[in-house]
Amino acid sequence: MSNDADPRLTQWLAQLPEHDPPPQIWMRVLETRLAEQSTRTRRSRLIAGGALAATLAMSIALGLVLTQQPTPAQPPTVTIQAVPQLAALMRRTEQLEQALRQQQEHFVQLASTQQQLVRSQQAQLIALDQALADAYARNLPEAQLARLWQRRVDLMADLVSIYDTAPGAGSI
Amino acid sequence: MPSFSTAVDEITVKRAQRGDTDAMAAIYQIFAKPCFNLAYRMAGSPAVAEDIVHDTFVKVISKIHRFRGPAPLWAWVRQITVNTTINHLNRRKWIAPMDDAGQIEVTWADPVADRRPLTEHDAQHLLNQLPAQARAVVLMHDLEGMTHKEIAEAFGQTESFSKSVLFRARKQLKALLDADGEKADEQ
Repeated sequence: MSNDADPRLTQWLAQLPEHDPPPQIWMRVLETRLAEQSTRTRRSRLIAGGALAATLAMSIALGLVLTQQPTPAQPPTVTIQAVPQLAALMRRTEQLEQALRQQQEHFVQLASTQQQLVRSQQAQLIALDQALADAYARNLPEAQLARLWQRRVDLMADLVSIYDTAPGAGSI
Repeated sequence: MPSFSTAVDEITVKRAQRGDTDAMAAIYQIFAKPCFNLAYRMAGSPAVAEDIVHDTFVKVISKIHRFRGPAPLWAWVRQITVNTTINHLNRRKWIAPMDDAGQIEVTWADPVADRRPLTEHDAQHLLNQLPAQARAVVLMHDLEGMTHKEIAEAFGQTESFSKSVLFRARKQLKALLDADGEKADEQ
């Protein structure tokens, strides 16, 4: 196999017509870039917002656990049984948040119906975090706190599954 | 001489890397035409070439902060153009997969190129008679001066793949040139 081109071919290629690109392409490039940047900003805010809410809820929960160190007045069995359940739920919600962050970092494209669903779940999540903060402030029983944390785990799992079923999510 | 080989001053590159839109526009002005022409020649369609230029420059401006020498900027932009074009060709299934024996299935002329009006002695038209992959390889090697190693990497293949496709592409192109010459002599 010769590595040298036939001079006629070289001449041919040199004669290929030159075209000017259509003038609107650069504007399309800038529009795409702008759209990508605003999507990234929105995602960063959502991630930051979610992380802040989770940190707040965790801090409150931790504060409560620390201030509820066994005292003579408290039956130790309640603390021993209930706190591990809350801790497990908190760990689970943290794992799901991490999974969600990874999915969002891969810029999975959601269908418009999925985007609506995500917005609705996120609104519920914000309300739930508020409810959790209130519950700790009012010193509600651990059974009620566990129900709220379980609800948070369910919401986070739903959010993760939305991203899992997004088109192209399998390529991550 | 490769159509892309225009030097861009370091200040413009640095400004673009800091997100300066004017510097990015200047880089676009320099490379849009060679990018469009290479994409047009490889894909055989101006509409597809327009999409390729768009996708190429979206990548260029979003990744320019990662650009590091010593290779010149034009080589980097050309690499992105070639990769983007190959992606487009693959997506449109204009590039046939290799069979078990490692041979390329030759599909003559892609659908868009087939619809182009015929022009006598039009080099682009003759080029469009080649399968998309053969056309891409001959342009990358004989027009852009890319090495077999670079071509092989762009297609995710071996250097012998690049050499083999180039050999057959030149043979096909020569046959087309001869046939075209005979047709011109008859008229």
